[in-house]
Amino acid sequence: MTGQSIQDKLNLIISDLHTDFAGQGVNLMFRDVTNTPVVFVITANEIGEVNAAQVAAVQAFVDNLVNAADDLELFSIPIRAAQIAFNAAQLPHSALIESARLARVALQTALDGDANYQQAKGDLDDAKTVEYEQALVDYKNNNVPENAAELSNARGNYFPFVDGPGGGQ
Amino acid sequence: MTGQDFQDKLDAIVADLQTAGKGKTINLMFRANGGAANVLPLSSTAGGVVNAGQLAAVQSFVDDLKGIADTYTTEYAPVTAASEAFRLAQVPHEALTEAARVARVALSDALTADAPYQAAKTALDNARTVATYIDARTQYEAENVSENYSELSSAKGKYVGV
Repeated sequence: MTGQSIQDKLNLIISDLHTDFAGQGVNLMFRDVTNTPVVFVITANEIGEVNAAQVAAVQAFVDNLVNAADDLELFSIPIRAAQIAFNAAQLPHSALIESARLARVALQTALDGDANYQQAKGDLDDAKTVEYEQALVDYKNNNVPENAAELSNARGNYFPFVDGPGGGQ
Repeated sequence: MTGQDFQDKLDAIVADLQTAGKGKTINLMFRANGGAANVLPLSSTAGGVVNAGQLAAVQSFVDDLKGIADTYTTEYAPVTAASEAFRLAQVPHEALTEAARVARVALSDALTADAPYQAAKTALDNARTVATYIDARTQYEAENVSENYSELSSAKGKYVGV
């Protein structure tokens, strides 16, 4: 979308109010950068003179849209060029891409149509309860496997106990 | 690893200190929650009497591990069963799964070996990360350009008398 296409939309509305819809108005319900609704009114009198202040307010808002659209359009040009080059580079592999897609679709279709598989998948998801997830976290955080290994490894690694200050403690 | 497994290992050490390991010490190098080292000594006298205070400290730490291990085992059991059921449910689709894998690998190998493709892919990735483009896209989204453009389209013709 270009800035000009946005401007054209506004121009068409103003043109309508100038001509076939003289004496009428329109409510434009925009959303601004804070996502707050901004409602503008543009009206024209019976001879098609559009309220200049109302148009100026709308135009100021629309100018921001125009600039944002044009900037995005401008800075997207290198991406579009790179995308075209990428698409061209993919062409020699079209057959393999299609084969991979078909194989993937065939598998997914089979899985989707297999009630037993879907049930098992759902059951597995359900089995991973909040309690299970918490137990898993506790198990890891408390280094259970490492501490179990320590209890195994430590056995036999005894040294003489010397009673008294600094000894054996 | 059950809680009982933990207790059995500790009991074996304590039994050693009461018998063949009388008058000796062992340092148990645990790792606490948070990763800190927690070294707990356990000693016995020449008569094989284990230091009660030390044993209480070790038992307290091991009790925590036992509880955590048993909870994990209990909660993990249904997942294990469901995982096995899920694995079995995939068996009828092994041929299709393998076909999809083979096709994916063939494609990946071909793409990896194709230098012009790799160059084009890198160029596209790089183009998408240019700051001016990202800033422009961010601004475009912030200004709700698409939605506001749609409003300009929708509003045309929705005129009211004044």
